[in-house]
Amino acid sequence: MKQFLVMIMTVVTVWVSAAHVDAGDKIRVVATIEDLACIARDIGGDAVMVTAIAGGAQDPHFLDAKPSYLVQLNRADVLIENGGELEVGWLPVLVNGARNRKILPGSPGRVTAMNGIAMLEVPTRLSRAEGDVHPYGNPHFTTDPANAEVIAQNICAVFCAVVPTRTAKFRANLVAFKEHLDAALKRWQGTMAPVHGMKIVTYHKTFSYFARRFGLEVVGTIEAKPGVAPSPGYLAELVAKMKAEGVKLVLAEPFRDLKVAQFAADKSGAKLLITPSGVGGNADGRDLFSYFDWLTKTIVAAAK
Amino acid sequence: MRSYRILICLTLALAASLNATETGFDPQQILKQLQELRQNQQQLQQTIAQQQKTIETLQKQVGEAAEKQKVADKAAAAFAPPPTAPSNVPMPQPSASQPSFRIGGVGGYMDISLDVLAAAAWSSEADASMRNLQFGGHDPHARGLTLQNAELAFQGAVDPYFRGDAFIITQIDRGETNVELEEAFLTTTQLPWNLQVKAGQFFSEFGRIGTSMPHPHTWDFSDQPVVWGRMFGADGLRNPGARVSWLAPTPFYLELFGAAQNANGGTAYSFLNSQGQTFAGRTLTGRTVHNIGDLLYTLRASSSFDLDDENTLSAGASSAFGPNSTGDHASTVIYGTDVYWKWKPVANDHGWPFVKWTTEALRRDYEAAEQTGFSAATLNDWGLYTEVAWGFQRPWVTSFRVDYAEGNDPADSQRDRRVRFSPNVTYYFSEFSKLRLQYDVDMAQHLNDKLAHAVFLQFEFMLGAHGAHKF
Repeated sequence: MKQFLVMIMTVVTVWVSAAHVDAGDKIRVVATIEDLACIARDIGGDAVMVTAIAGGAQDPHFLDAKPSYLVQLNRADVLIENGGELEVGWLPVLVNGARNRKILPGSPGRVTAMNGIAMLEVPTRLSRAEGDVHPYGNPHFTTDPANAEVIAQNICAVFCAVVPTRTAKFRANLVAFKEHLDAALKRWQGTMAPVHGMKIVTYHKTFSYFARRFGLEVVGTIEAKPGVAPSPGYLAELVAKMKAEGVKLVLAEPFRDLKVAQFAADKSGAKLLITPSGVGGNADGRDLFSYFDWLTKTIVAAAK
Repeated sequence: MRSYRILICLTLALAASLNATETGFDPQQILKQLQELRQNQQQLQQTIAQQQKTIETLQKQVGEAAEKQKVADKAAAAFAPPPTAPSNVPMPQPSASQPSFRIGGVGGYMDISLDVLAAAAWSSEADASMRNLQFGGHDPHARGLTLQNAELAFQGAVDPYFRGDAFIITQIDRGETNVELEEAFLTTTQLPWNLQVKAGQFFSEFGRIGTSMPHPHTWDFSDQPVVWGRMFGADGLRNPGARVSWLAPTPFYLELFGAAQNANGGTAYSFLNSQGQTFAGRTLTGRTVHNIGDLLYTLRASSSFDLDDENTLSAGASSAFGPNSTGDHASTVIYGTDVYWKWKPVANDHGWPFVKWTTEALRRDYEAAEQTGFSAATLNDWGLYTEVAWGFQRPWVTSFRVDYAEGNDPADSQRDRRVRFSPNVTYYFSEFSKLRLQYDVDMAQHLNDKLAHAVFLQFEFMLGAHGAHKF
């Protein structure tokens, strides 16, 4: 019995230490989506260890509140959430169970990326008859790369508060990030110039911010309403509209009902482009910059 | 402030003059009083000076803040389209319980929701017998239409230290409307060492149903498992009390729960169930609490592992022990184990496709005290259910459950041997409404022809803001 107890104690000790050594003196940062994790890595540099819960190949609205995420949050020094109810179906219940005072709403270790973002499509009236409409507006603002600047500032402010001794480093990283981003924005604007004014259809309102930034016009969505699957009648109307407007591209994330998207594209003479909702959704978009390099080039190539 | 000072001076002067008239003229005393007055005056002046200073400091701070705000607004305007909220003003933070929508607009103090669950039912058994088969308080247990459960939920942050949750349920049983406070508890948010305390009226964290899905609208079936009704009665195991849980610092999820609750009433069915009820033929005395040994204790260990990005396996073990009301020293112990596996691909469409497989086994050792016509005995019952829910195509789910339960009394509807198969299919109009068709075929020893059939058409709708559910 004694030996058995000693064995159990040893195993538990090893587990506990295994769970605690890997971050070293770095602060542990958990981001809800990979897009935010990328920015956090650029701002935090070697002072942080960043993990993301969701990548661009999955719908960030519909994650399960898996206990393994709860364990991640329990050990986090900083939690970066998108906000705007993107994660409302799973993050609150995880934070409730995580027993981590550092990341409770309003705590110094909680970053809400949405703070300071100019939100689009803010509803004037809330009714579920309109589908999954979010009271703060469309939460997919990370699809506009220019918003990364505001997000980076929000992240930098929290990192400086959590590790004040590294403030100078974080601020320098923020300046470097902004410069890098400004240059990249010019590059992406240049890439996208030939398709300025092009009409597109998206499956969900995921790319509204991207379209506004690069002058694309979203004339409709495959979904009848946010989160509501299209009926045959709706699809017929949409296809007619797509033909009339001369829609060239349909953008759909890999997790959508691609058969329906392909049907609408085929019937209207448009091309279906499968695009991850953000970073980490395919091998080409491993970080923020490579993701938008890939997305802009792919859209332009597909429009030819 | 000034008039206050004058008032004090006048009061002091009046007191002095009164004193003088009482004691007669005394130069010594007048001098002393004048001195006191001067001291008072000086103290008051000091206070006023200090307050003046405070006011100036505050004014300065307000000015600085406004200046900072201007600078920040300018900075924000410089790099982005005019933000809806300046970045240094905290946005309303999504509260710990904020679901897809709130009542009362963005930033309300709590989420309020109403969930209605109703069913049309038909059974080969007449209502009295059907009631024994559909033992759950929220099961459709009569032919015709049943309002199973209308749940009013209030959830939110109480203050920085607690969350509050309350569930008030209404059901209509044979024309009578019953209202009960199903749960009302607070949960701590600030405790150290990975601890969390829950206190109030709540479901004991026993098994998968008690821990993750105690409310009927979260079930994949129209009725509760047979063994659950046998062990915990019509309304589940819930009573006033307190529980502590600890999240272990292991790399995988491991949580330990311990609760102490009152053991009385129908919501502690296998324990101090109400006077006048019977169990296995014995009359229940409805004994009351004498010492802490008369409370109900529930222990649970819950664990979960991600096998890969698509597969999660959870396992738990629970036990509940406390007194029972067949006699003064009789007690009951219930043990349970549960396993839950879920497959869901990373690229899922609103959660589809998925497969969930849940199995729970429970055993009860019920010490029945000696009563007229009965000798003392330990009654052993056990049972299990295993169920698979397969979300094969959005928005369809088909599920199949097998129930098995066994006691030692073929004539007792709650202690006979019984097998039930329940296939069903559910259509989700959205996350907030669903329609379900279920068939139950029952093979129970206590029935005259040993066999019963039932069909349920169940629907659910939910209004308002309801907190996200556990995994």
